[in-house]
Amino acid sequence: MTYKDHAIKSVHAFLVIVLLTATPLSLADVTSELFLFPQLDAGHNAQLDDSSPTERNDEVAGVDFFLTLGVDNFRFLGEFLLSSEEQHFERFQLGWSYKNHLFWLGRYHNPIGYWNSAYHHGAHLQTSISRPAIVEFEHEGGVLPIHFAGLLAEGTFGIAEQEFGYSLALASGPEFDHKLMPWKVSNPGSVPGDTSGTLNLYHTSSAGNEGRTGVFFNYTQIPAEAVGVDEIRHISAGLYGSREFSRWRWHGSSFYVHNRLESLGGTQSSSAFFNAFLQAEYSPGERWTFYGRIEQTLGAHEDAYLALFPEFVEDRILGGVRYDFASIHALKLELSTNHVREDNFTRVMLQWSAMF
Amino acid sequence: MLLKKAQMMVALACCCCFSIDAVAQTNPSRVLLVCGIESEIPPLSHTEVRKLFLGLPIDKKGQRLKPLRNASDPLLTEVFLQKVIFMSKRKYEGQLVARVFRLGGVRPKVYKNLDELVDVLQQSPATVSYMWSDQLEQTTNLKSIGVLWEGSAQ
Repeated sequence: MTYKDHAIKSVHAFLVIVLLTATPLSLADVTSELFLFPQLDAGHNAQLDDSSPTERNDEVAGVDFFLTLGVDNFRFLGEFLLSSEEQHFERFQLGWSYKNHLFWLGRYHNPIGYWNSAYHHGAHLQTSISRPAIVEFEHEGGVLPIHFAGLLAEGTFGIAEQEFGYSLALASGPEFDHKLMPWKVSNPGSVPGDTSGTLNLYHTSSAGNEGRTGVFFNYTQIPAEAVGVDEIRHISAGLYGSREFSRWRWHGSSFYVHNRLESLGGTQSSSAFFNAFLQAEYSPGERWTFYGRIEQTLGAHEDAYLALFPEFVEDRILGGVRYDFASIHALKLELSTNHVREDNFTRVMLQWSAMF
Repeated sequence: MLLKKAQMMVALACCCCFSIDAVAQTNPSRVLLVCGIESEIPPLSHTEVRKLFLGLPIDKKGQRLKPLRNASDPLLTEVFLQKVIFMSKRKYEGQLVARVFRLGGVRPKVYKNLDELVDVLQQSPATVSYMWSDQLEQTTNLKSIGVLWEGSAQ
C-alpha cells in the first residue's frame, strides 16, 4: 500500500469519525451563509503574433456558488464554480476551530503569499479583473500550486499588543500534464501530487483591519511524467504586504522560485527566477476605483520550468477602472500590455460582476 | 440703520447657534454596548468591539461572543459605522463578506426590529449589540457594558 492509499484511507476514517461523533442536531443549531457571485467577462488581445498560442478573443460567463455551514466548533466550506469553461469544486473544506485557530481538511487555496489567501473565485470581491500572472489559477496556465489537498492550520496570536498570524499547509500538490492539475473533489480516489507544504507568517493590524505584511515559504514536488520529467522539485519563498492609507490601497509581493527538474533518464537541471508585482488602488468616492499594476519577472528565459508555460505573462503593465453601483454590482474595464515568452500583446478586458 | 439691522441679525444667529449647541451638549446622544442583564460579559475595549463586529473571534469568560447588529434606526447605523467601525457601509459589508468567503463562519446577524433584538439579547448570554441610551431605558433585562460613542448626532 502506497502512502497515497494511506492518505485516502485516513481522510475516509476522519470523515467517518466526524459523522459518528456528531451529536443529533436540530436545524436551529446550524449556522449558514450562501453567496452567489455571477460574472460576465469579455477580453480582446491585440497585436498577437500569428504563431501565438494565446487566443485573440475570449468570453466567459459563470457563477461561483459559495456555501458555509457551522455547528459548534465544526465548519464546512464549499465553493463550486460553474462557468462556460469549467465546472468543479474550487474549495471543499471541513474545519474545526479552537479559539483563534482553524484546522482544515480538504481542498483549499495554498497560502502562498497574500493574494492567493485573500482572493478566490468570487470576482466581485477582487478590485481588478485579472490576477497577477504569478498567482494565476492552474487552469489558466498558472505556474505555482494554487490549490492544495490535505491539512491546513491557520490562526492569529498576539505578542505585546501586536497581532501575528500564520498558515501552515501540509498537502498533496498538483501534477503537471501540460498544465498544473490539482486534486479534484469529483475524483477523490486520485491523488495526483506528492508531498507539499507552505508556511506563511504575517503581522496584521491589531484593530482588525485587513492589511498585513508577511513572509512565506513553499515546497512542492510535482510529478510530470507526461512531459518526460520524473519530478519537479519546486521551492518558492517571498515577502508581501497589503496596506490602506486613506483613499489608497497597496498590494505587493515578491517571489523567488527555484526549480529542479529530474528527467526520467536520471539527469537533473536546476534553475530559478524572480517575480514581483505591485498594485495601487485609489478610490476618490464610494463608486469609483482606479487601479494600476506592474509585474516583472527576472530570469524567465533561462528557467527550464517556465519553458513549460509558454503563455505565462512575464511582464505586465496594467491600468483599470471599477464602477460599483446598486450596492451589489460592479463594472470593470482593464487595459494592459503583456510580454510572454515569444510575444508581446495588448489586452482589453471588460467585466460585469455581482454578489447575491 | 442698515448696518445696525445686519449686526442684530448676526447677533441673533450667533445666539441661536450657541443655544442649539448648548442643548446638544446638555443632552448628548450616547451609543451603548449592551447585553442581557444576566450575561457575564465584561466591558470590552473599543478595539475588541471593532474586531467583534468585523467578524473576528472574541472569547470572554470561556464563551465566544456573538455580535448582533441593531438596524432599527438608520442614524444609529451611521454613527456606529463612522465612530466605531471607521468604515462606510459598503466597505463594511464587503469586508464581512470577504472574511466569510475566506474562512467560513457567519456575518453578524442584522435586526431591524428592536423588540426582536431585545428578545435575543435577553435569551442568549453570549450575544452583544449596541443601541441608543434612550432605547436601553425603554427595555428591561438588558444592561450597558460600555459607552461606544457620546456626542451630538445631529
